[in-house]
Amino acid sequence: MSDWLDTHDQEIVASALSHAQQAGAAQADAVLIRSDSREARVRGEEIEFVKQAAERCLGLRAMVQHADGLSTAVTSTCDISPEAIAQIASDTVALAGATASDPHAGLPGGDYAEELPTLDTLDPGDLNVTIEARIDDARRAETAAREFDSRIDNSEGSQADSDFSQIVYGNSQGFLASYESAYHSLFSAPLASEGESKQTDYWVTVGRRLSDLEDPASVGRRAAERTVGRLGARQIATCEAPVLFDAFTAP
Amino acid sequence: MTRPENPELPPSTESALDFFRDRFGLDENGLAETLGVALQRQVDYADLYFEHSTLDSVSLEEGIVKSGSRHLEQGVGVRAVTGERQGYAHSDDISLDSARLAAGTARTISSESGEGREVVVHGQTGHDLYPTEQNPAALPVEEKISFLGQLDSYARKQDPCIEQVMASVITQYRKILIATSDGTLAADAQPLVRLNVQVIAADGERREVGYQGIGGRHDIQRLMEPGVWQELVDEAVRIARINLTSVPCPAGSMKVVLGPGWPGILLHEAIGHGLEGDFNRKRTSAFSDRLGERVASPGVTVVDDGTLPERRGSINFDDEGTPSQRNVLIQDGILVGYLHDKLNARLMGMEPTGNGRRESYAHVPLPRMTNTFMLAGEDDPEDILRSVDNGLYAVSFGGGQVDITSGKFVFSASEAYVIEDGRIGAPVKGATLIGNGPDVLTRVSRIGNDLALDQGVGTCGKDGQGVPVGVGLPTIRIDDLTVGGTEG
Repeated sequence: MSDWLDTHDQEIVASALSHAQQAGAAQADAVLIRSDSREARVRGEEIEFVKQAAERCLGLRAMVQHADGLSTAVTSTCDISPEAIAQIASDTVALAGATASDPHAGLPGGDYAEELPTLDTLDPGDLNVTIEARIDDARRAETAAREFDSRIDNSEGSQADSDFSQIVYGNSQGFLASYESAYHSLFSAPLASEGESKQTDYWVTVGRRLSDLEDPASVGRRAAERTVGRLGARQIATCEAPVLFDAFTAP
Repeated sequence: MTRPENPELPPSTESALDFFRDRFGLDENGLAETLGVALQRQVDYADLYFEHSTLDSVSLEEGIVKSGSRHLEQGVGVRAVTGERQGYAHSDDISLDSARLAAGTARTISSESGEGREVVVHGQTGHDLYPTEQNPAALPVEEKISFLGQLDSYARKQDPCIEQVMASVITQYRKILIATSDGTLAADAQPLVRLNVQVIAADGERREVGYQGIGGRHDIQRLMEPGVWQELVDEAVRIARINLTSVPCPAGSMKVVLGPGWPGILLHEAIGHGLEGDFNRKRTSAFSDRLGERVASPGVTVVDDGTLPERRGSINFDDEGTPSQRNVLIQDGILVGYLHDKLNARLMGMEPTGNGRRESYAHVPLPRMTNTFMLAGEDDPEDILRSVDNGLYAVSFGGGQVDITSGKFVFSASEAYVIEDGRIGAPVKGATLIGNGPDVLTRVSRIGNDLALDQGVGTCGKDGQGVPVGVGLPTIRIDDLTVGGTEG
């Protein structure tokens, strides 16, 4: 994560835009998304799955001028070598040239933001979170779920995810800026049995900062509580009835 | 790449091996050496998965193709497995250097150092189920655009009630290379094409949608034959028109007749997922520990077959390099098999079945279905309908979902009719089928002789990963299924 804030990403976006314009685009915009993610799942006593990845992908939109409007094409590539960017830029313009023009297509004329708000969607302190720390979160949720009730006798596991991304956006009107965001989650899915009946449910907490997340043990307990609550479910006769949605289901 | 061991490799393997060698310098020695990096820790198994994939699409709406798109995805995923633990790392750079780095990360799942054994990989012989001569996207975009224009005017001419036509041509070409610590070197070039048509019909204030799609692993030109696409459009128009006359659906427990083809999605969701190896190894499926038991009526045989030529769900190899095969899951009503990837097969002491699939290099393989269907029976479909006094005839479905653990499922029908005195009656709107996976097939009372596979549009989602699949079914009668509707 040491090179997390990489000004080179802005150069890549600028280069894609300039290639598109050289290839004949009247307007263009591009986005580069750099992501760094880690994921850990604990099931029972075992660390079942650990994943780490760092990636960059470029998306490009080019618009070609016709008498009655602009025609558009959208492309993306995970290969961001200079040759690949030149190629995708000319491919995008060629594709845009073949589509029909739309009098309503086009970038906003101007009035782009000059001062960007800080939305506080990433806590720099979180960038150093280790996979071991997230494994520990998953383990605490899993243990709490399993210990909640003797009828919790299995699970699909408890999983922690931390994703960081940097998004650079630029367009042919001269706007070029970037922002960062983070997404952390902790999920637990225990399984309860009673007689022939087997049920599962889950609980999940998500946040922009690790400190926004619910306590791992509480995630496990709430997941277990919901799961045990499903035991003894029975079929009801076909009827018309008022329906109450709990807060978790309502959206 | 030298591969004197096996001169019989299918053309899809040959072309993909050449592609990765010529473009990215991936050769047998380099791949074996990279696997060696993962094996420096004590791991049971490791694999490398390289992917290069292009997705092209053009879509028509409001009479014109306003935009085209092209997406290039590439990368490598490296996995190390010890017991039931998996370490995974991936990178968007296809190179042995990136793979080595990822291998160094993936192996940390094991804290024990290993003996650093050497691996030799050999070309794996697989099926030759689809053509590889050309990228299905190779057709000039101008031709696709003029084709969609033709389709639009044809659709509008069919019926003045057609207000909107949306259509898209999607072509994907995916090349993969898999090298594993058990010595497998597999490569494949997989074409996948699709044509979608959706029309909106209007009658006064009422608007209804009709959708049809078709696709498979072959070139796109086949779908651009007038006999093929016109039939597709006619069908979308017919469905939209029928929906304009649909009435509220009756609710309650009743006899349900499922039509042939796409309604096989019920089999896929309600039964197929519950038979995937991971859920059964962890005993979280409603079908866990039930091998050898009766789970369906006599006469019900369900198979998953990844070897059908050119079908959307077919694969020459799975994404772990295991050749696909025809797997019988339920034989004459008795549960006889699960679907396995390598990990779950090993942990359950069974054989892999060629069902280890992944959405992309950024995903770990899971046991997944290919083409899942019920074999035909002997009944005349007309007789099956005639045998129902009052019930529902469901011909096509939209969405559906299943709870693997409890077995509960719910599906919404996109085309369904009431059955009255053995005859098809009014079309109904908003019918849902509600039931329980391990129970539903025990209620199958008639099986038609008209097995059909779907038209090649299915995508199955599991753990956030989508893979193309096929489904199929003959006409069947299910007794006492709960139908959700708004009429008492």
